[in-house]
Amino acid sequence: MSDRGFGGRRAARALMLALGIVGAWDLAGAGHLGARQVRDARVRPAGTGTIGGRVLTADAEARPVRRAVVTLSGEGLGQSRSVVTGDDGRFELERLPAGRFSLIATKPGYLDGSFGARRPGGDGTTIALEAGGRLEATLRLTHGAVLAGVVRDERGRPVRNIAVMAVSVTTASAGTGAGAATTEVRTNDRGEYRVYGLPPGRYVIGANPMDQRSDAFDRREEAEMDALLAALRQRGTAPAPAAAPNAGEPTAAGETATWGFPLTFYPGTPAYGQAERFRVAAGETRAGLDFIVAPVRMAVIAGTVTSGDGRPPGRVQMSMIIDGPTTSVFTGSRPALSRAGDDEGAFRYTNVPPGRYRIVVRESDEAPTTPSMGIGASTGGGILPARQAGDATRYRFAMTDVDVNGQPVTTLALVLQPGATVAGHVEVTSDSGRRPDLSRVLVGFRPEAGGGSSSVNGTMFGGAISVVRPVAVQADGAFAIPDVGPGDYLLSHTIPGDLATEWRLQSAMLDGVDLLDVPLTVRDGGPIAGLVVTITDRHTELAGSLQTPAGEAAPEYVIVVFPRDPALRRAGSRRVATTRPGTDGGFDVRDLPPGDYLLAALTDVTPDDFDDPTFFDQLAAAAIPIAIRDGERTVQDVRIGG
Amino acid sequence: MGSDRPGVAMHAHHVMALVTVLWLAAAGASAARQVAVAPGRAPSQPLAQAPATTGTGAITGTVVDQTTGLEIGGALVTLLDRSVTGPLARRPASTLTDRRGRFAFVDLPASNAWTLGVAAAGYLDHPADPDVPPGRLGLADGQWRADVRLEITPAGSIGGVVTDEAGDPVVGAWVRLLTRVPVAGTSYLAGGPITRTDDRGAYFIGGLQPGTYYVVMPSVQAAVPGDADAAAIAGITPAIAAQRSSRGITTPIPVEHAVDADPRARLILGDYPVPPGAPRTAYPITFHPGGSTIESATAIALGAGEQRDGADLRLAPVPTVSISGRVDGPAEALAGLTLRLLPESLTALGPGSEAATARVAADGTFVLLGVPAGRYVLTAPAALAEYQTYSMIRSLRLPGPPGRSSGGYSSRSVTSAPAGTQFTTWSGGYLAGDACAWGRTTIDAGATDVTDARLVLRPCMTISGRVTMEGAPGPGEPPPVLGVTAQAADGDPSLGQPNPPPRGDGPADAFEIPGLLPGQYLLQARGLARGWVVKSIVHQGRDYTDTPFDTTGGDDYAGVQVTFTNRTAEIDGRVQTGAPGAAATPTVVVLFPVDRRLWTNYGREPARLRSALAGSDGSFSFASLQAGEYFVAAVAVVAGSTPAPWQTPGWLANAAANAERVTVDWGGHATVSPRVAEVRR
Repeated sequence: MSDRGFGGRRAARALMLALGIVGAWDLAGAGHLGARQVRDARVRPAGTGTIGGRVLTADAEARPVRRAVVTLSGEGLGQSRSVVTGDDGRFELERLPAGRFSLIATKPGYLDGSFGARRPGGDGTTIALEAGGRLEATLRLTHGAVLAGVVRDERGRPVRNIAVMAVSVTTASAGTGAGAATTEVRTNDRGEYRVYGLPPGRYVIGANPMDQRSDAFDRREEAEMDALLAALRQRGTAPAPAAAPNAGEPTAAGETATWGFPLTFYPGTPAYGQAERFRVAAGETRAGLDFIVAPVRMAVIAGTVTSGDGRPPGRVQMSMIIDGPTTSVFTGSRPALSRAGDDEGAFRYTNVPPGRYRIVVRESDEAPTTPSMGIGASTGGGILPARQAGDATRYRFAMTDVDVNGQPVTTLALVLQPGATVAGHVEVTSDSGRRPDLSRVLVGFRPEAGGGSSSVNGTMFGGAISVVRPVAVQADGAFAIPDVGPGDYLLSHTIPGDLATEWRLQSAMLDGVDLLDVPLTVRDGGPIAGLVVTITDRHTELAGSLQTPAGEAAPEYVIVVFPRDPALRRAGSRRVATTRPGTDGGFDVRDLPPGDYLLAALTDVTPDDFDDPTFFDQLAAAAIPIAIRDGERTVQDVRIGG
Repeated sequence: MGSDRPGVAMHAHHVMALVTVLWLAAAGASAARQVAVAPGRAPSQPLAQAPATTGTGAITGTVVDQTTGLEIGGALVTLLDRSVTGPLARRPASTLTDRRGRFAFVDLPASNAWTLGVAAAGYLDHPADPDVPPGRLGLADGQWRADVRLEITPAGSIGGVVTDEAGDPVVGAWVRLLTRVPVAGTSYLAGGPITRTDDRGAYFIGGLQPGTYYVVMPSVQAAVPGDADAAAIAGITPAIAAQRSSRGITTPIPVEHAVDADPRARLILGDYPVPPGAPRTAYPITFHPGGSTIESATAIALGAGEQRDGADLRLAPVPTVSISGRVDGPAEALAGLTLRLLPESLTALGPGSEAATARVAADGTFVLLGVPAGRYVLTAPAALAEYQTYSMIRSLRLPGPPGRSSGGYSSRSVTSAPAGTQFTTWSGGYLAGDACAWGRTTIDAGATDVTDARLVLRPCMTISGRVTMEGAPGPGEPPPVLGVTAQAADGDPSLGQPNPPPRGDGPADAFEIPGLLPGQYLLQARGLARGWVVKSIVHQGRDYTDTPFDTTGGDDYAGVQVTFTNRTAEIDGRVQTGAPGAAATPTVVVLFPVDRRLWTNYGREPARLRSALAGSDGSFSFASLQAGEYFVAAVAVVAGSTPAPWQTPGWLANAAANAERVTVDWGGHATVSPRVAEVRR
């Protein structure tokens, strides 16, 4: 096999391996997998095993890391055991029972380092410790990367106490901040910020003044101020109020403030799409990321929410989603939503910074509460609680996207439309013939990860409002999920904890498509029937060992198991698993849905790889087929280079 | 726990992060930053109709640096009409100053309480004298108040580096400022801003008012029973676990970092730096420059705008002992109980200031690990509270003990302490059950383990009685008082804030305050309507209106008679100034009782001590007073000076010499004209 086949980026560190099958047994029947036993955590077993070693820096110098906390955990150990390294980086864990353990070193400023990990933050190797065994382990810690700079205002003076976030765009889908991990710090009195302990990757830096200077304001340049004061002197009183073209919410002084500080991204833009995305190497310190947060004109977004059928809107909840990282952008007072006068359904957002927004309306036929001018920044509007028995509340929806850049947008017309009703029933498959209390199971829909956001002119909106209320299944298994608004959804469900130890969801089939794997697209309010949800107490397990050509354990590799059907291969799918063999080469993957799979071994896998649409295709070329059957344990030993 | 894939949890997180605006949700208007106003200000009065939003008045002026007199461009000036509060209040108007520091507000309606605030990089939002907002103006129709000079004070800062015994930087260490505040005549340690060191071991705390500060690195040695599992350490109780599974939450419980110290106990690592050999050695609580007690600490006297660098802390490991023993008390109080071991000089502080904590095992035994030598107070706290100073920066919060979140706190301002002082209480204490019990004992830790410590839990005390109204609320007015509660007369924060439950099935005029600890308590009204005051508090023929109830003997008090009246007294007037125009100097008017026994032990929200800022014409007013004999003192604020708090007996004694003396009866009214005195501030 050749490096060339895998593209330069991955070739160096994720060398894929040709595999040979050593032996495969399908232990039909023999391996019936029921509920797992609950381990008694209060047992503190002791033994005669020892794990000792050193924690060293991951760079070429390999210096000892003092004061690192090394923690051993795993089944058979009871509780975790930690120890602090000495000046020579050494640690020693004694009186250990036999078992399979993971070992991790942590120290502030460093990235967590698991024993056997191929890179910082990567999965480690499971340690298989025999009774009385001794393992000498070396753990490597990589210094976290540092991003630092100064935030200044237009006049070059430091902006203090402003929230600065480092948005990791490595794990985010291209073009959207959805799913991005953010680390937030605040500038000090000198405007300095310093984000440390970051994993290597691509980052965007943003400063969020929303909570700092929460209100819009006026500004006058020197000449304007001179003119105003001259006019006051002449009249001895204030000039007549001037009409403002872009009126915000009236302030105490009755003025119409139109300026504000927007969320600003390095190197100095309010548009997330124009933010610089820079790559930071492991342990790199990138200082001098200075930028200016300057005031911009704020806009008004106004319009109406009306019914398609003439029925007056009931209780209306609106949400506004900005294009960009999902951060606490608007938990402050901006933008402000007001109900303008007595106009039926009129809405008005003021103080809206430049950007691209999605406005989502969810209306219920509950009686409106007492109207009040007010702003609620709430998380409760996003998630609806499960529908209780007898709750006949109905919902309608409207949605629109809008770009603003300082100019008012005042003519938005949002027309409420009914959602779809999805009906079906729950089936139970069980070898024991048992049946759980189905009335305790909830089913609903969740927007497909990232799919609740949608692309507008090539830019994705980050995040989505959850619009479907889960319903309880009836005792006979029937269910109907009403008011599913437009969008792409995967089936969601809740099985209470005591049932979930035994029962799990196997499939949700509609017209031959499994809605646990492939999203359902709802466009209008037409009824959808015939959804069959299957609950089972059967489990699956895939176990085996990975060996070198010489037949020895090969713990340094990563195993990826993925569906044989290309249509089911998607990052984040329940059908994709990665695992690492232990020091004895053993691996174990549980509860993959039954089906045909491929198994591949690589030297490393990063989250980036799963973003690459050709990743699975490349793996498939050198993978071996595996069949996982319902309720069975599949054993598959694998040899490298076969 | 088979529910949804991890994507669900991630998705829920995204939804949480979205802003969702509830159209019809009742919520406060936008909370803009406002400068503090003088304590003792009158409660807000709802207006019947919306105020005018435009008018013909104007306010213009300049923002200048108080210390240098230089003009400050780019400062954000806000203007708020304080005569309008409640739902009709408008958002503050804001404007940026131009290059020459000038600002202008025009088209203003008339008001007697326009209040100006300033925010500028490197300056305090808060004025140097926290009692005095930088500008409060009356404005008539058509009036132009020109050349208003807003002086703002540069913010101070304290910074330094935390290193360990090898000189290596300590990364992620918590660093906190402490200061002292006078409350009801007693000085207490108060918590200041909290930050963490960066990857260079450096910390920086800015936005500081002038004052005296200590720098401390907290270091809590947190022990849990040997059988506590990861869920218990993460605070996932059986009830929370049930909620998690019913909601389908499958996020894994993080693996705890813990040292097996003793068969009976484990030391939890992660929140504070730990040397090798823990728990037999520990980094103790460390004050700048390196001592482990506040007595050994260097106090930093920070001037206005002073940037103090080099306030370093050097950590050194010390040998420690374990303290084990037993808690005697009812089983329901022992379940989930966490004990606090506080250095004797830090007992006024809340979570995160302990030397060690220990979760009590189900059988009542406990083990405290990693305790450096010293004198401590061991408590089973029924209340958790501390004083905190105003922080301009957004402060972090210290982590709570394992199994307890540090959240669930609330703060209220202390009217008897310098403005900006907050009294912060944590809900629930470290006691799990509803049964209120407390325990407290002194422990000396030396060179050897303590194995026979004993802590006895005792029940809390109760004060109960009846409420009488003299007078009746007007038609449509709310009930004059919602209830009766108690406050520590001497301000002792360890007594917490009793939170009486809503009235049960008993008579409508009955009240009951359970949950009291041994101490001195003053009764106070809860939710007192404007225009009502406490007239008297009587128990067994003895007057307790200004006298605290003593619960140190473990006694309950029943049959207490609390009488409220709407025949309140009022004192108003106008300060006498020397030269015309001198009224432009901010003047604070302080009202306090003539009886000097009432200059201490008056609690956090005293009825008889007030202060107010005189208007631009020198007028002031104190309403809703109890009858009695009062001093009224007027104090000019000297620019650039560091103010002394007026709430101390020494200040009051000094002020009394130049004060007007006046007596008012119930329902009475008096007018005084105090001379602006040269009381040193």
